[in-house]
Amino acid sequence: MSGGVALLIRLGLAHLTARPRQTLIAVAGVAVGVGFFLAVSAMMMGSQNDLVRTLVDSAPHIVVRDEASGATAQPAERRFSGAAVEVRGVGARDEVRGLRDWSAMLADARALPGVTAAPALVGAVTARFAGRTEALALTGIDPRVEDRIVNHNEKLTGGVIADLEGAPDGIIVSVQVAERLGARLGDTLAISSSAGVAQRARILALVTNTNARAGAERAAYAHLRTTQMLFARPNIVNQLRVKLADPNAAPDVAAALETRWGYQWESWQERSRDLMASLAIHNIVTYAVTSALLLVASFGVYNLISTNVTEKRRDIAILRATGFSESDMAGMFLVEGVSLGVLGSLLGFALGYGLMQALAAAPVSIQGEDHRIPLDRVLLEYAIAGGASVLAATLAAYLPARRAARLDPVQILRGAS
Amino acid sequence: MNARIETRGVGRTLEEAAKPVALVRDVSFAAAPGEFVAILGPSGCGKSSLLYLLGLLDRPSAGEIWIDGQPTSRLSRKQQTAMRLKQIGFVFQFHFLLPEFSALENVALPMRRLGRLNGVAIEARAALLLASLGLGEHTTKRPDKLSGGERQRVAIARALANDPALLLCDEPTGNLDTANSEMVVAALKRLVREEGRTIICVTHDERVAAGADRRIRMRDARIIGDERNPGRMV
Repeated sequence: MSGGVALLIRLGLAHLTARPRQTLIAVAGVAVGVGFFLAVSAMMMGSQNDLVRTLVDSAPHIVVRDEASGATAQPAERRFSGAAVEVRGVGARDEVRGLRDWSAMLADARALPGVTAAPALVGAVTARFAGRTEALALTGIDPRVEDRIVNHNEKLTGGVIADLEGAPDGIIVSVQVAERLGARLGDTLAISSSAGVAQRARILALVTNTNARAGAERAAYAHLRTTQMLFARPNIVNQLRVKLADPNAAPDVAAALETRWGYQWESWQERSRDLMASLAIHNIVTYAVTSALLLVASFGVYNLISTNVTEKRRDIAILRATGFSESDMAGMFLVEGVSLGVLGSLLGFALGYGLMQALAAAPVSIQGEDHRIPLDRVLLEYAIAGGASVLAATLAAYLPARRAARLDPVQILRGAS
Repeated sequence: MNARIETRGVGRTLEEAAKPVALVRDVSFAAAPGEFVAILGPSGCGKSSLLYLLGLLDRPSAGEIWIDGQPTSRLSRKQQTAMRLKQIGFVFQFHFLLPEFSALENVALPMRRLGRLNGVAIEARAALLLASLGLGEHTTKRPDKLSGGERQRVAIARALANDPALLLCDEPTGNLDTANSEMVVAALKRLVREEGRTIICVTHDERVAAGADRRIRMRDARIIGDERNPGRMV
């Protein structure tokens, strides 16, 4: 078979160049499939990654709250596990609000590699300004560490999180809440908590809230110690906020800490489980649609090669008579399929690149604000699109190629003379 | 026995039809190296079918065919294909040149498939073969730029590409005018005289038959006569 493949490639390519228009149409079909596959998947993956990045960056990777993760098991239930145990007259024990042993947990979490952790106290407060009232979900944070746990600053105007350090009377509220109160940056709000403590707080910065979740605009931030005083619970913390170097490790780290300390350590994946599930479905739909594009392209390839086999019956007969084998015949037409796939992929790469450039340049207006379409451009997508289309074209060529191999030269010769 | 090709009791029956049809019945003959055999007979008498059997394009239902002393009925399809490539050349009534390739490339194809020579040597040999058939100035032309006679001579050059000992022709002059027919017949005769090839040529054409050493006549799938050409006795 020395030089045999080169010869088959030459024969196959000769068939393609002999019918330039039909070949061009089949190549264009593959190119459009590949190009749109690239553009659509870049867009889908881009918006998805953007969403996940927002999820990951705008909140701690793991949060532990002071709700216990289930009713405490009775000693009798633990002794007879699996048996039906009835214990009567069980009274719920009043747990002290706040995380027990939080400083030990914090130290333990911080000891893990790549972990940043900070305590927080979260509670509901009311803010009053100029006779208007708004309910806020106030988070008391450690301003020195908070920056490293959640990336707030790019959404802040007028100040940064670290400004809360050394400003015990400072508060950060959302733009929406400030608007509803009629307050501006630097105005002083009257804050009162459920514990009956009231305090004045100056607006240090405003958060631009982009979270679609209802009520998200009620989030407000103050210094941890200020918050503890507001709730009259000095040295109490009801949340630990954890950030990891690798966000994907969150479920494992959360599970490890949960076994050691009890409480519910909630990873960001768990928190957004519904969203992650819908993203998975989203992915399936994306790939189904884009694969359909490649499938349609392979119909064009099938059609062209099938026609070529029929038109080249005489060539097949003489080549077989001359001493070319059945597999040579199949190879000749498979070469055509592979060539169409490769050529179509290369053109498709160019088309996809062009589409992505156009999409990246196109401004999209959302509520009067200009946004860019987030695109995820990775070489892997090119490899997938190219590989899949070459494979599809080869499979599409396989059926006619097999038919070519099975043609009986004698029948063609009889018919031709 | 040093016959180039020999058949004994060869038959071919088409079983696919409702009633089996005998294409070839009990054909036995032998052709020596350097012999030019014409097979004559009315159309439908089975001469082409016999030729396909001799060229290993079809398998006999009965009997055996020896090529250079080797029995062929037990060979695998792959082995038969290899034998066609190296030992057998075909010329048909229709030229069957590949339209996308030049005369030279058409002649080069079987050599490229065999892969015994390198590219330069293949093209040199193809040019030589074409020149020996009077086509020296047409090597770069595609088949559609050649006349019918020229095409048929390119087809003969292609059949000779791998230097086969056996040349099988099916009505090689069937589509040609007198002048071209004579040129083709002269070329075939020269191949036998000067190069010692064996030619078996199915034909209607009396000019071809007149040039042959031997004439085998067929009717109704059988050989009914096998005679030396008196005018060509060696």
